[in-house]
Amino acid sequence: MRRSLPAVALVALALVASAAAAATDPAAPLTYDKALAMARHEGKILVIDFYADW
Amino acid sequence: MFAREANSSEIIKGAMADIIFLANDCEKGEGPAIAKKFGIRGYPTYYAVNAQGEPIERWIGYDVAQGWADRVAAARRDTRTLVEKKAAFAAQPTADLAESMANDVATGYDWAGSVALFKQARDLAPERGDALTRAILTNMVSSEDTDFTFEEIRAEGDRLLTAAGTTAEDRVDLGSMLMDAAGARGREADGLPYLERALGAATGLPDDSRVARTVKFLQITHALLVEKNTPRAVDLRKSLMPANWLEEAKRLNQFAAWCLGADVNLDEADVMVLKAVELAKTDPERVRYLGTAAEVSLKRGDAATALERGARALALDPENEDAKDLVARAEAAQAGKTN
Repeated sequence: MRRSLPAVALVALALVASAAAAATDPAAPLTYDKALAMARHEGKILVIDFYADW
Repeated sequence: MFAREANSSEIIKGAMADIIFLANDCEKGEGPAIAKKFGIRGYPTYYAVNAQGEPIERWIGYDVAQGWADRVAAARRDTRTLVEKKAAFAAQPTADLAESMANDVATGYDWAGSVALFKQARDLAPERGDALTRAILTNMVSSEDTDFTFEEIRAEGDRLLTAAGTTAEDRVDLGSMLMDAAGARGREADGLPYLERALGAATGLPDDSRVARTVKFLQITHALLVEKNTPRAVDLRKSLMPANWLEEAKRLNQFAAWCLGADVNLDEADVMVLKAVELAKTDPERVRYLGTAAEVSLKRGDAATALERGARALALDPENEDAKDLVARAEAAQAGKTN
């Protein structure tokens, strides 16, 4: 099934909005998808620190 | 160490300003799924990815702030994917590409491959020799003791110790690495001169030096190997624990694991690791602490208790390779006693 252009635009807007929300609320936990959306929106690379709290 | 320095290091803060940064706890929330998606094998591992989520750099371990910032800068400088960089390196090797490939293969624990690539980078960019030699040394020390001899490691360490730009803090780091490498190869006596020189270099460093903890660990090793003063070593190790550590499972386990590694204070280690098992909040934690508890039992010569603890860990996580290995070793130890 082909996705119409407006639907794609809506998805993109939603991602940007959630990225902006995460950026403005330092208490909001950053998820991988949000971080990737922020990277896309801000034209930056995403660096992920894979760690364990041992 | 990264988390501690991320809040204090201006170098890291500077690098963070140019990127989106995600701290992914591999044992909580979505963390395990993201770690699985990237095939993470050890902590800490860092991935720099483009907006499509494709890896453009990856590296394992945290050494110093500048090293971390350099990897971030390399990722920003060349945003081709690792797949593209690999092809470019095969066609026309450059120092930057060799360094990227070296860090890339190190995430798969291929230390020999990584060191060979770092050496290639050093040959291609001798002006960056000191930084690349440090990477070579770090990877050599991370390797299995069969990958590199102490002589090979010492040669790289000596090269750095005589370099003009090597600071007192670097000398402490280098002494620690060489002592660790010597110890891992049963060559403690060959590491002791480096230990002594590192402690000499530490004289006069401020209390808040970035190597303050390393100095403490060197003092502990000195107490164990030179002064032969186990109680002092144990007291020094306890002095490095944070407040309330006796109420924190992971800290109790950490202390017991240190006792295990140093083969000292095993009676107290046993009490503490059992308390960690009691305090554990999740099964993965409990499995890890039961593993330490079983190792302590084995070292104390109590195979039956080790087997019981290993079996408890395996019951909680039947696919856990470490637990399987522990049970097998405990069974072998018990069979050896009964035969």
